[in-house]
Amino acid sequence: MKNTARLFLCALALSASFCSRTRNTPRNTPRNTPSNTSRNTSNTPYKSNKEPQRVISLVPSLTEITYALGVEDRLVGVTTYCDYPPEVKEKKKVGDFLSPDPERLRLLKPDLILLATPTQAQLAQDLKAAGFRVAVFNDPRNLAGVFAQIQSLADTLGTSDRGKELVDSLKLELQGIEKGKELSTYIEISEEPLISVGGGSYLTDAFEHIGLVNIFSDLSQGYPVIDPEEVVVRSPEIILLLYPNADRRNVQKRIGWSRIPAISRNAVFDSLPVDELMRPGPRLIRGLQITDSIVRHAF
Amino acid sequence: MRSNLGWIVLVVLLAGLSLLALAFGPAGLTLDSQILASRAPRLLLTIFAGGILALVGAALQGLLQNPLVDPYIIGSSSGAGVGVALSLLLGWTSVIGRPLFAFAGAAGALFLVYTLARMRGRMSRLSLILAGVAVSFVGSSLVMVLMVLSREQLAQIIYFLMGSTKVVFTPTKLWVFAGSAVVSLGAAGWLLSRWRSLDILSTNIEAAESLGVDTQKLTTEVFVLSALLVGVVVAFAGAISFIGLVVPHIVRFIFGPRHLKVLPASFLAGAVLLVASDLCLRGFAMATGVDLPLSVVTTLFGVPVFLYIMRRRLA
Repeated sequence: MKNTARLFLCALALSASFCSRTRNTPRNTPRNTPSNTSRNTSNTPYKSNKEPQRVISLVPSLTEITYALGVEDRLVGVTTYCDYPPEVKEKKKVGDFLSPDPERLRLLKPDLILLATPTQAQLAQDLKAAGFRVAVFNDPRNLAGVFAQIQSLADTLGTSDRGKELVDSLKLELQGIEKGKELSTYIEISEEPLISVGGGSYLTDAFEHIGLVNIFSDLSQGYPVIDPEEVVVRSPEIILLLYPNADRRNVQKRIGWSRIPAISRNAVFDSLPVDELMRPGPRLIRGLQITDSIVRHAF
Repeated sequence: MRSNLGWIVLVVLLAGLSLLALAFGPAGLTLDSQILASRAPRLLLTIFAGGILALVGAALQGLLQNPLVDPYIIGSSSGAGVGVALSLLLGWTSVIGRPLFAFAGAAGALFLVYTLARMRGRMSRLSLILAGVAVSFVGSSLVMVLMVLSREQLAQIIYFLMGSTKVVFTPTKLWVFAGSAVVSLGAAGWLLSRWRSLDILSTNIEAAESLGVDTQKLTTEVFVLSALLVGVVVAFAGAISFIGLVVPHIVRFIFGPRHLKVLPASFLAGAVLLVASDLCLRGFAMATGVDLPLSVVTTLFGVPVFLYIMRRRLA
């Protein structure tokens, strides 16, 4: 127990990754870029006249984007957390997202490794120093950032046109969601401790696009630990539970919460597309569509 | 004289801070019954956790005659940590699931330490410390293995290890907690009833046996009761550090070395320190939106007091 302080720092860094299967993973690491779309693109552009042919992705969302771009045949290695689309099972695993096995990386002879900051900033430096070619992407802070990241990866892989097509179709899908009445929303991504989504996460912006206004959007952190009483004070109209095995009955029974409009009106939702929403990749819009239809159906 | 004043100060402080904790929160200063209903369980858990940890710390320091002993040295908190990590890994995080796993882990560690510490049917205090430390280390390593296996729940495990009384209560959980707390207070009373033996042990180890203290029986009793109590606290509030180590020292400075006073006063002082820390944490979170781990606050709060008293005592 004496090393808890050190462990806590470690955990903050580790948990800050968006690439785990994002079950209950909070991200508290402050983002080093402002929520400005143009700065959300790759900050180490890959310069080569030759398109990379042997790519390793160390981030599940970037793996998903690579598949969506249709260039998955160039993917020679992924992390153990990459689980979508199902075919990704056949790809070689290089380890988890923070400590991939360097020997396995070298054996795969990659000409490009995909990483994300701020979580993997140190790893990116180390890999670069070891002579690997890396492309680093910043965590998106809003929907525009998600689109920019898709385009940026497409450019890096030399499939700019396909990237534009994908982004355009996603934007079209997003426009297709009719923005209903605005509802104040409490989003819970972990039950114990109680973790919500703050203004620093792309989710706040994404949900706002479908009319769900995050009650904690004023908090600058991405995934803040919150006081249960704070939820009572901010009295949301709906509650979204974004973790696996969420049970709305437990939430409805919480002591002191009965006066929250979402509870008294029975507007607590637990079977939501968690993976789609928690990964800033090509499935995000579909996740929003499903969430929207579930929520609007009930209202 | 000083000790009489000490009792009054402790009781007044605890009452005052408790009222403040009930009246003050994100919803502002309010006496709204629903808000109070959600603040009261948190306050009770805070008092319980702080009090029990300090009481167990005092009893173990008295038994083992070692000022550096804290409740976590006997291994059960580390076992509880393994239980919690396991429950998160298996997805058994229901209302009852987590405390149950934590308690099972603590009981497992207790059994292991007890078995390891007994040599030729004898339970010595030295072997108890050694076995406790060994099991603690094994437990920490197991927690780390589980952390690596479940990186997704890593932050939750770490948060648990840092301790927190900011628990969301459902009626079921409240009943489970209330039941455990009542049993625990019984165990604490049992511990208190051994004050005379602990006093004798503190003043004269060599003569303790001839003065009628069955040191083996006493060691076993204090160890088992402490391990169970720590298991309950850790199951609900995580591993809050520092309180169990330092509060008994502060209390002994004010109330003297007699365990009849040291044990209950430690309970009160531990509760005061933890309620105050939780209030600080709440105020800080409301002002900045940043949630500090409880152990950080207890340490920052307690160290200056501790150093002040130590320096005055040595001077």
